[in-house]
Amino acid sequence: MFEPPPADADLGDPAQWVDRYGDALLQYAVTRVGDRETAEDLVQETFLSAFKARRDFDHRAAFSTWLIAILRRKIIDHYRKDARTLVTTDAELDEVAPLFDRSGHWTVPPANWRSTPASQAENSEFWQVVRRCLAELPRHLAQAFELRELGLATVQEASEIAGITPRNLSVRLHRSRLLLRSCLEQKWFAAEAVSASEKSADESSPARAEQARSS
Amino acid sequence: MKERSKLSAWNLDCRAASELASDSLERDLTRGERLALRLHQLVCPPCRHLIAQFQTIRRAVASLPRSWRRDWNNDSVELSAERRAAIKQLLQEANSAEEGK
Repeated sequence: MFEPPPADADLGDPAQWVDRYGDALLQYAVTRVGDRETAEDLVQETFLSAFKARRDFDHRAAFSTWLIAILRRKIIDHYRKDARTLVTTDAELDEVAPLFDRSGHWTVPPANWRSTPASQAENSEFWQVVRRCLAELPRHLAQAFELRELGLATVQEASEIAGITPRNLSVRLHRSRLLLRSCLEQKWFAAEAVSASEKSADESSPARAEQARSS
Repeated sequence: MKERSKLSAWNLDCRAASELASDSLERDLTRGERLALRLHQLVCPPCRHLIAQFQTIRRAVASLPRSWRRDWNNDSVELSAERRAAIKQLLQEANSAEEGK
């Protein structure tokens, strides 16, 4: 993932760290916090912390691995601060209520997504839709989803970061997953089903047009 | 624990089933929960699809960083020139502050 670290023991000129590791750190951060500006802030803080702590680096791991470990802690701190500013109204607010009728049945039943995840993962358009859908989630739900699904924290850690009980975390995860899957079904899988059945899907296709409008 | 009281293998509704499906990604379900979910799935194709979708999302997200790097390396995930310069400046300032001590 990275170039080999500088061979000399003093790690070279700190300004060169930025050229050497900056983009890789940013990639790591952007995939985990979603927001570009925040990711750049976290990378900046990481370099400054690394500079201050550079004498603690013991050369047992690669320098890049050490930087990533610092960045990872910055990301977790960021989520923790973020959690304090989030409204925690799980009890009153039920974001997924519209998905079910009064007897607890689906108002719009989930469909059969035919394509395999492997082939979706190849597709950068799919990722743009995933990001857009995550961005549309209420922030406290997106946070829960990202902490768990991106492997940033255990259930216990994620609950502590969000300042809620594990039971509340599971409520948030449930809601985030339902809203995300519903968004993906509308924005991606519905359009895909159409384009698969009509090989030459064009602008006149209703699902395509719908997707174009909402994008 | 209101939801849990609805939990019975014979009358699990779709909402409760979807909660169990989500929980199953976080922890081992109890035997009773597993049975209830399995029975519900047998009679409810939409909830079967839901469980498959949760798995699809999980697998897709697990593969995100790698594909992200491959696909978006060049156009979107680079430090901006301003930020790059700003960080270098900060590091140089920190460095000269230390040397001045």
